[in-house]
Formats: sequence, C-alpha cells, structure tokens
Amino acid sequence: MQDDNQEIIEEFLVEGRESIAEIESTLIELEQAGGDAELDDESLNRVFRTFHSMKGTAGFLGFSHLVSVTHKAESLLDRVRKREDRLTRRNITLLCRALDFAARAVDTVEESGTDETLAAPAVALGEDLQAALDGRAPVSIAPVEPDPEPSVMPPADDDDGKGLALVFGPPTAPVVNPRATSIDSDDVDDDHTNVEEDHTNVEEDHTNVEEEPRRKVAPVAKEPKPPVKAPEPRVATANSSIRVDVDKLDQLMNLVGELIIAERMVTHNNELTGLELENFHKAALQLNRITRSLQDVAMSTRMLPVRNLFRKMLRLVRDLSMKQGKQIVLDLHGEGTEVDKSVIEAIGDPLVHLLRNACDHGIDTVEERIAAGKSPRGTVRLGARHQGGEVHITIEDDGRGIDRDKVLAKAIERGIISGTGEHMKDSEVFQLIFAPGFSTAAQVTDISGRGVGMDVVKRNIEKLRGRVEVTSTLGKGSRFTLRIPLTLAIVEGMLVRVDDMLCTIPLLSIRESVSGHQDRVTTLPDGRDVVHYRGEFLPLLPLRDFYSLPGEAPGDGGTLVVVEDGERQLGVVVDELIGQRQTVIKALPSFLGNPRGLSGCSILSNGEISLILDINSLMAQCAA
Amino acid sequence: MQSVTTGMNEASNAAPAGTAQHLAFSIGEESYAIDISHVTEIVGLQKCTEVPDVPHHIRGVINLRGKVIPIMDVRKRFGMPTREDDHRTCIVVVELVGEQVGLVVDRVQEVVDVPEGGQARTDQGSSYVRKIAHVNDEALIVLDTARVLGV
Repeated sequence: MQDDNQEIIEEFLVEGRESIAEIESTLIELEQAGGDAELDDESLNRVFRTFHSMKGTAGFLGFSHLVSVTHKAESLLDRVRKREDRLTRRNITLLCRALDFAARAVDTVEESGTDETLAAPAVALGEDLQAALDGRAPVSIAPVEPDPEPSVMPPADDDDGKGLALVFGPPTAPVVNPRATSIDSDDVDDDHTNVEEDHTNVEEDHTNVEEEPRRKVAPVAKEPKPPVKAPEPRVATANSSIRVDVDKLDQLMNLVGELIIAERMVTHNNELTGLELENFHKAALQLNRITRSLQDVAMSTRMLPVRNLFRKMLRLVRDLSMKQGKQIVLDLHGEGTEVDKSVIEAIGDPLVHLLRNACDHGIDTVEERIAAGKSPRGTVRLGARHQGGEVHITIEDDGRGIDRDKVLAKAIERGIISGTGEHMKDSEVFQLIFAPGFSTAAQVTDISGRGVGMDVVKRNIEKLRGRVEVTSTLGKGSRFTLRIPLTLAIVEGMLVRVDDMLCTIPLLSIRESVSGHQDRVTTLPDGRDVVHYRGEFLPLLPLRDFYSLPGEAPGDGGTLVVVEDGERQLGVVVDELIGQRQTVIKALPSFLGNPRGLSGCSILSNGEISLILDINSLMAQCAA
Repeated sequence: MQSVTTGMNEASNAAPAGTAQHLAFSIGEESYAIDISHVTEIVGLQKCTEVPDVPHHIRGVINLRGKVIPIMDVRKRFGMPTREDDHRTCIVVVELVGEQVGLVVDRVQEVVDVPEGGQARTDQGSSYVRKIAHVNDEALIVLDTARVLGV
C-alpha cells in the first residue's frame, strides 16, 4: 500500500505541475471573455475539472489544505459555470492565487510528503475565496492588486482577433452577482453531484496517464457552444506517447554522437586509402544514411514546442500590466515551434527579463500613448520560428523605443565606452544596454531598472551559443531577437589549423574568409593591428600570437577569417583552412579550468581532437 | 595502443590485512605509489592535443575511446627536469571525484601492498606526499592523489 501511494504521489506531482501550467494560461484566456455572457464552456470545464481532479487526488492522499483550497476554487468555478457569478478580474486573480497555492503545495509535498506546513496561506486564501463565494469584499489584499484608477482607463473594447491576443489592464470595480450570496458551498461532498462526467475521471487519473491528453479534447458539454476563439491544437492528441526519463534521452543523444564519430573513424580510416573497395563504399554510404536518420530522430525526441513556456508568460504580463496600470496585450506567435528541451529550460529566465523590460521600459503609459497618437493599449509580441539551423525568438513592443542619445550618455557616464560614441552604429549602441550595470530607467521600480538582468540575458543566450539582436525606432518600439542554434549537441564548423593546433570555428559566426590580407594591415600606435576590410577597420587577432604558439606564420601570412557576433566583427588569423565539418561538441574536461577563447572540443574522424573556438569570448578578450 | 585494463579492484581482496594495494611507478631514480582504487587503467603514450592557456604541467588532452581526458606531466608537476619520452613512458589514468586525468610517468612497476598507517609526511618535503613507506627494503613515496591532481 505504501508503494502504491508513493506511485500515486509521483503521478500527482508530475500531473499536478502539468495541469497547473496548462489551466493557468486557459484561465487568462478566459479572462478576456470573462465579463461577457459568451463563456467558452469547454475551457471553463477544463479548468473546473483540473481543480476537481486535483482535489480528488489530494483528498485520497490526505493533503487537507490543498483539498480545502481546490474545493473552494472549484465551488467558485461551478458558480461561474451556472452563470451565478462571473469571471471578474478579482475572481481570476483569486483562481490564479489558488493555482499558485497548488503549485506551492506540489513543491511542498515533493519535499516533505505532506502539505501540513501550508496551513496559514491556505486559511488566508480560503477566507478570500469564501468571501468571493459569499459576495463580500476580500479579507486580505491580493498581492498584485493595484490602486484602482478606473477614470484614466479607456474601456478595453475591440479585439483584433489575430493570434492569441489578451488584453490586460487595471481592474474595473468587482462585479458581484447579487444572487451569489444565496449559495452556500461549504460541504465538500455536496457539489460532487453537479458534475457527473467528472466522477469517473478522478479514478482514471491515477491509473491511466496516457489517456489524459485525449480525454481533455473530448467535448464535455452536451451541446457545445462555438468557442470564443479557435481552439489551439492540443499536443499529441492522436499519437500515443510514453514518459521517458530525460537522462535516458541525454544518454541516447551522447551515444548517437559517439556513433557518428565512430562511423567516420571507420569509413574514413587512413588504412583504407588507395584501396579499391566498391562494396565497402556502398555499405559505408548506407551506414552513413542510417546514422544521419538516427541522429535526426534522436534529436527530435528531445524537441518540445515552446507553447508551454510562452503560455507561462501570459500570467507574467497580466500581473505586470495590473501592477503598472498599463494596458498591455501579449500576442503569441509560433507557439508550435519546437526546440531542444535544454534550450527551453535555458531561455525561460531571459524571456522573463525581456518581457519585464518590454512592459516596464518599453510600453509607455496610457497618457503618453494617447499624447503620441497611439492606441492606448500597448502590444508585446512574443514569437518563435525556425530560420536555417537556428530558432529565432522575438520580443517586440510598440512602446517608446530606445533613445540612442540617452543610451550613449549613460554608457559614457558609467564608463562603459570612452569618447562620444557618435561614430557608433545604432545597432552597436543598442548592444550597450547588455553591459553589466547598465540601466537607463529614470526610476528604479521593483520590476526592473536595477541594471541587473539584461547582462544576464546576454550571458545566458551566449551560453547556448546564441546571440541577441536589437532593433528599435524611437517612439515606435523595439525588437529583441534571440538567435539560438537548434541543438546544443552538434555544430557546423570550419576546421582550421594554427601551428599544430586544430580548431573549429562555428559556421554561424563566420562571415567570410580571405587570403592575402597582409597588405591591408595597419598597426596602431598602441601596437594593436587592424585590417582594412570592406571599408571598415576590424581588430585583428592572430591565433598564433594569442595563444603564444611556437613556430612561424606561413609566408603568405595565413588566412583571415572574419567572424561576427551580433554587431562586432573580428579578423581571426589562422595558418590554413582545412574544411567544413559537422562535429559533435564535447565539453573540455573541467580539470582544465576555462582556457581563454575555447568553448569545447570535438573528436575528428581520424581520432584527433579539435578545439572549438568561442567567438564571443575571443571578442571580449580582444576588446580588453 | 597498448592498453592494460587493471581490474585491480578485484585483486584488493587478496591484500593482506593492515595493508592497502598501491600501484608503484618510477620517475627518475625514485619510486612512487598511488592508491590502486584511484587507478582506472594504464595506457601507452599516444598523440596528445595541446590545449592553450592551461598550466604548464598539463600536456593537453587525449582521445581515450571517445572520451577526452586531460594529461598531466608528473615531472613538470613536481618541478623536475623533463626528459625525452621513451617506449616505457606510460599514462596512468586515475579517477577522482568523477574527474579522469592521465598521469605521464617514466615507468610503471608493479602492484604492491603498502602497510596502513606509518609515517605521515606533513612536516617536510612536497605537499603531494602522503607518507613514505618501506616495501621490500626500498623507500616508496606514497602520493596523495587529490593533491597531485589539485582537486
């Protein structure tokens, strides 16, 4: 019995987290339609069912505080379903708090196996929920409730209807249905009778994980009303799926990497040179095709759509817009775009920072927007798409835009740049906002403006071998683009040689390679060399000197490889280019510390090791 | 590649009570020993890829059946004069706290039983030394693996 319980608890944890994330975004979608009579019954039922089944499992496992909160949330939703109450902003906020509580309970249960420590928050939230059920004013103040200033807020009326557009703004006065007071709902068991179709589902949740996605799309209402918006296609509706430990997938990916190396070591073996091996080459070709397909499949098992990550941001923007008294629409695009799981994990924090930045600094206040002749409602677009071997995540706002002069003034004041910076391109100026300690916000708010965050954004993206690009028009808005390689395991690179050292330069950062650059090198008074390249002077970095390698440069001066990182360019000088290689990235042993300018290594088909150059780090070394 | 997988952990059953098995090797005239439980294998010298920007006693990295392993020159680590590699030069691969490192030594000798306890050397000599033991009428410098690796 103990083992059975443990299994149920584990399922409860996994499913709890998934369903909390899912219905949070559903709730916020509902908020738009909430005030109207045209409620999306299916979404509402889904939220209701999730609370209901969570209550069922929590009751079975004896998590009494979670039961009491989910029970009250469920009662509130039931009244909405019966049209006895409405999804007012206050009710949505309460339900979001109930979800927060459930998420906390799940975490607490995972740590300690019980939710007993959550008595105080459960009571506080329970009182507020009860107050809503009784139609009273809230007992405590909800954490994100701003000062109500309804007079300056034009009504949020029209919906442009493209994509998933949600309007957030400060709350209107709470709508209390007078009939609501007559309902009492304190008995846990009574309301079970309201939802026949859910009784069986509670049991199913414990036993059949795979049924879950399918069950959710099944129409619940006997007479389904047309939904307010076209329903998002659910993940894996028709396919059956199983849960797999991520460690196993990592292991699989590593093995596939090893297999690709081993395949090359066999088929390109030096001992084969000069031999007539027709059948061998046929077989080798076949092997190559299979390993390639295997690599694709292995990679695809780790790919997830960005949907869940994006949807989490809905809540963030909702809370931010309420806190700041702005009206902000978050527009999501390309939610189905798939990227590697590790990329999804790594871009979560940067996205939060960038969205906070967009809501706080980007989007102007309603007064400013009206004065500028814009719609009072600001829009933030969050999008994802595949582009070549990269995924591009864009965060675009129609707010104030970045003021080049202010950025420059601040950068000079903070000593980030020297000189006036008037020769700098806009794109270079905008990159300055990622410098550590940089912040142009006139006032520090608790959301952003401490100068912490933007540098972290850039660092996190660079860790993924990606980069951040910024474009902006003053008064019109800004766009941040995160360009990230699709997979972190394999890199397309150019193999180069310097002295005896073999290096791989990621193709993504190579702009061009040219020979015979020697005539165009100028030595500056401080001893640094620059090279004249397409009308610009680029800093020159001969790898031989950088790494103090012995030996002489070849007579022709070697080859100049122009690399770029966002806006900066650098001329890297190598002895010769060997050729383009697709290589499996391996970390350098941590025992070696962090050698300058290297991000890892890879094993070549002849068994030799090449070192992968880290362009961002070389740029930084060169600038220092 | 001449490769000897030690499998010495099995042999530890055979160690007489009160002793611990060590792998003995020589650098120059002196004999050294390292705790056998840290040794994963012994491989012949092979082509080593230099890595720039690392301490001078790190020769670089080797490809050991698809694993990239850093190689430490023990002579350089101990501040001894270097010498040409020869056919007896070996790489002793040790593993400590999940980190594999190859140690380049002049010559691998044998597995010896080193008595537990004995004279601890913290007062004088190099900090890499755990103690000096007398085995078969010879002085054996027992190394502290963690300090040699610097982990």
